[in-house]
Amino acid sequence: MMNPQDTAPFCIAVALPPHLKSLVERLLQGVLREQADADARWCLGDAGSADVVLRLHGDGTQAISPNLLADVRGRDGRRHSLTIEGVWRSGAMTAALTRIASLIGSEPATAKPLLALQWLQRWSELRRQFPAAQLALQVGGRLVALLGTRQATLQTMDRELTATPDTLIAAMARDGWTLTPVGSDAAAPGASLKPLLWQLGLLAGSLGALPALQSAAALRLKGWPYLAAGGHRSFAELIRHLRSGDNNRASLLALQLAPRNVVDGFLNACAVCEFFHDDTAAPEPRASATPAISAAAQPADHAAIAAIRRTLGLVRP
Amino acid sequence: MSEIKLLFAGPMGAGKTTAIRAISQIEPIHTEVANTDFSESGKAETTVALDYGELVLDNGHTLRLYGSPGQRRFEFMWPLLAEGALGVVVLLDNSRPDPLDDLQVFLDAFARQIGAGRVVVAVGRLDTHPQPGLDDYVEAIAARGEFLPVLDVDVRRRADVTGLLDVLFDQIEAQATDAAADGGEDEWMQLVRRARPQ
Repeated sequence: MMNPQDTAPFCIAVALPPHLKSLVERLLQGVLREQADADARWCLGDAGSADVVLRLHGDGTQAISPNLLADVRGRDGRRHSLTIEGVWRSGAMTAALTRIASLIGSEPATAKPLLALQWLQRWSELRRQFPAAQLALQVGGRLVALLGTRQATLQTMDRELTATPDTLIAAMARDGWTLTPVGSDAAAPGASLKPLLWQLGLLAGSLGALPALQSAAALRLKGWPYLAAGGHRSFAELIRHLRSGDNNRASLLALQLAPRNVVDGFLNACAVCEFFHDDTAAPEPRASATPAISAAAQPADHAAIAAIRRTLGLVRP
Repeated sequence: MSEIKLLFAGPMGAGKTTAIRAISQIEPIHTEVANTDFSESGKAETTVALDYGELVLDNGHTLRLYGSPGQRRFEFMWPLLAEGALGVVVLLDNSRPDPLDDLQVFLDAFARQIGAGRVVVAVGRLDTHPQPGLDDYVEAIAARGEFLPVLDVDVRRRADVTGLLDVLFDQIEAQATDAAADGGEDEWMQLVRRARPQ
């Protein structure tokens, strides 16, 4: 992925009454000259095509030193508004431009979900084609890990980048990535790839469910999906509804247990980590001679759990 | 309810004392003695009766944290200690010779609590002893026809211990919803109802 700043300078326009416009433009030119060597490069332009348009904040025409409002159009299409107070003070405009640059060039909201979807598609294709292969994961043209398709393993070549799924995903989003077969998977040692697959599955939920999940008649978990710990509060309910094989994506969405992207992300993550049974035949009930204690939690249990959660600071989305 | 009980169970050296210390507001009271049972663990000291910690909740009630002795000869005590507990945390040590066998022993001991969704399994030392993996534990539990959380934890980290409890509570609440949907009956009551002449 290229830095948007590499393709074009950020364009700023001034839409103010004439007596203020020339003053602000002169101020901007001075600030931009000083910023010539800084990362963000700017140019003055027309309001119609600019990334940011400076306007008066409210009815400030009579004010001696009016505040300005920056209408920012991010390169991901999102719009932001930023108030610039004390614009005539030294450093105020510089600070505002820095803030505006981060808003314009901020990562598109769909970048990571799209990356996640593409990555999972590529992984699935290669795994199908090469069930016992070693894949090279390159980030920014550099080999960062070898992945084994046989047991879904990751052998790190760059401990820093692969320290957590989040650091690796952020690096892939920033610098681009490739995944290519490089040889056979000779039971290469490595950690489980599932934490990364889980995270990618969750992210891809913003773009919907993976194709196989959309057509699945029923979904049944093999066991409690251990990577769900610490995730969205609705995961416990989703797990409960996926134990018996009575539900599929459509019925889960209809239950409205969580926003669609959370449900789809959870299903994606379970699917790519192979937490679902391939067949959905009902499980054999356990023939237990031991009667369970009552599963019906008493009101006191709920109160106790709530109090423990508060006392331990257990707060999750 | 003014007293609430949580039980930490597991074999010797799995980290029960450490887990209790991570969340207890008092220095845990423990009954450590020199370990003479090196067939079970190589640690120098071990708990022979109970570990005990406390947490005073924001509503004034007390959460009592019990750690059971890990030696197999105390196996008879484990279900007794679990009676009346809000939940049970089974801590396993992946560096032991056969942690999947340990799993079976503790699942047998807490069958009643598992049926009510009040058990969570936590596996320690996966970083240094990655085999068996969590998938192997999930498979072993599924082979018994059971369904309960298995998590990777480092009990020296408080966040891991509290996260473990959070999952346990999620599980209890989810199971309670199930029970409510079934009419709130336990297995005995369902058996009686089915046996009753129509």
